[in-house]
Amino acid sequence: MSIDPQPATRPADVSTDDWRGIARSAPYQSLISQRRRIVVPFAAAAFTFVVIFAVLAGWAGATMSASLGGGWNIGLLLAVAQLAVVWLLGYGYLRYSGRVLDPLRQQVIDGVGRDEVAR
Amino acid sequence: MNDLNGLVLTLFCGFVALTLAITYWAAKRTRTATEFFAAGRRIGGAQNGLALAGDTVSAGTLLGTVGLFFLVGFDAFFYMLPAMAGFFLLFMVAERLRNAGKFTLADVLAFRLRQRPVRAAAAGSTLVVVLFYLIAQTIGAGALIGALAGLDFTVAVVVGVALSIGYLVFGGMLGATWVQIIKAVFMIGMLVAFTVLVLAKVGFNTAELLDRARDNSSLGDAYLAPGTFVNGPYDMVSLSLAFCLGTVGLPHVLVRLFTVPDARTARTSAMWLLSLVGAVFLMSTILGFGARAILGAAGEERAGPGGNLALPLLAESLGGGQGSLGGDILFAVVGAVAFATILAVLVGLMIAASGAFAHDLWCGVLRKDASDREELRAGRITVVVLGIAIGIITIAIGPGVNIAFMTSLAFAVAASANFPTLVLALTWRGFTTAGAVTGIAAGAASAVLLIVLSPSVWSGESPIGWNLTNPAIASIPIGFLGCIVGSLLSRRAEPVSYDEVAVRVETGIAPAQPVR
Repeated sequence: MSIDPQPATRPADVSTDDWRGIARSAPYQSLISQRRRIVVPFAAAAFTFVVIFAVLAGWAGATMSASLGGGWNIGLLLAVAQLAVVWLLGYGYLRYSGRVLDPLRQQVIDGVGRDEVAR
Repeated sequence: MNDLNGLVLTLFCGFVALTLAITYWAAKRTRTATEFFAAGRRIGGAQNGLALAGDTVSAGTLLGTVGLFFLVGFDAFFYMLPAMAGFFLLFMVAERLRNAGKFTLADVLAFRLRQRPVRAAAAGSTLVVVLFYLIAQTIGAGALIGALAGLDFTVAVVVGVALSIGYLVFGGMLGATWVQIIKAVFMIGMLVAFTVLVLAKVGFNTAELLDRARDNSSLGDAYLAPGTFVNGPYDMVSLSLAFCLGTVGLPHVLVRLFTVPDARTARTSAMWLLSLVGAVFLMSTILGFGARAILGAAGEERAGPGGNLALPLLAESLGGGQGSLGGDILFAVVGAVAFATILAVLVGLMIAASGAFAHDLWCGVLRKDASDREELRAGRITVVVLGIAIGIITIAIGPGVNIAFMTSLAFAVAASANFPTLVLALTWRGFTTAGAVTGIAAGAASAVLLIVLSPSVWSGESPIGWNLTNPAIASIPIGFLGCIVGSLLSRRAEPVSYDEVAVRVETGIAPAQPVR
């Protein structure tokens, strides 16, 4: 086992046309569209939070240091909120993956070797 | 050397004995390349999550972040917080990476592109990132061990490097993983205990804690507001981008995703990572502000120029103060955990570098028909040579260099060279080999160049008027641009169709298998 042409063993009975067939099949299309529905907004939300936090800190320092009682201010609250929000996004993604994406993925795998591959 | 140093060293020797026993056990299970580079792909989800957390929270992160909060307050967030979102982004590609890769980042690219050029380019950028990170960590390690355990810088570096080589040559990735897990458990246990002690001092009232921290800082209200340390708004954005996106491209974190049996376990381990790192970040913040509230301005001198000793000093104070038995014990605990952390991070970085050199360059580019045995031997030899080289370089550079600077270089290259190629390889149909090579070269070169031309190298005045200390805001777009332009200009067909890659990374049909 030196360097394989592929990192994993390539299924010998699946040709390029078959992969195209799987890629165009209904189960696969629904899997990637369902995945995109969560990945795009969640990734955008996490990344935007990071950028907005830096932009507010950079150009709206006075707002960020507005006191909320005790030592707390808006900036500190946003920092802690960022940890919490990102964790919740992660937890949401984990749940969605298990409940929605895994069954769809299984459908695609089950389809291989039946209609698409057995031409 | 005094009693305190002896206590630190005794605790540390206990950690070393435990990890060496594990290495002995792991050595019997490290006979093939897959076992050496990927622990036989038998690591469980929670185990890998702990190991990932161990890999990402270095001594620099642990002591440096607490020290930075202690010294400058709010601005320390820019060095820590963006990485949390970065881990989440990594989480969302973790399964695809596991399905695409075998041992290294280059595997993921070589999955659909032409082997030799992308392996050479990706291994090159991996080695640059890891070497900068390794040198920074080793310098920090030597200085820190000197301060905590009273060892000479050279002795500390030699001990650290020699142990790391030992763990890896015999135990491979399995040994490295368990060193990480044990370290992570000790570190998190220690942080939880200290956090509870700090919060107990203020009656679990965080507003009171922040209030006291501010009152004890010479910065006053500015201590809890942005702008005391980071050099202006653009640098805040640039730094955030580097730590957020660079996290996704860190080679020593990526290689961990290949140690689990399947994509689902990779996902579970990434959720563990997110939870553990989130907790560590929150506790570091509390401890940093706690150090300011409890130690006050009087602690600044003893904490050193980077504030690196703020955490051990806080521990000493929590245990009853300087000279008391409790204080000595807690100080020694921090010292030993820091020692363990340093070792674990050196081990993680060295196995990543070994994979890039032995698997990608030696067996993937130079000798394409190398056997599994030869790959394993190349991996071990790389570890030894690399370890010795790092030791010599570190001792030659000495403890005086600014390690935050070298770490930021590593993150900037990871964000600018690795992140764009990784994302486009997994998502863009039109991506080509030429695009990957151009993108890696453009991203890495622009990141290094802009750091070399930055004011931190020219003591305040950049020769080209580039005034940001971190290049990410410019070099990440340059990396993406390189990928896109390179791909559009070359329309040569790639060896594997995008359809095949997309289906296989998404569904996990025929991934790299665990060793039975």
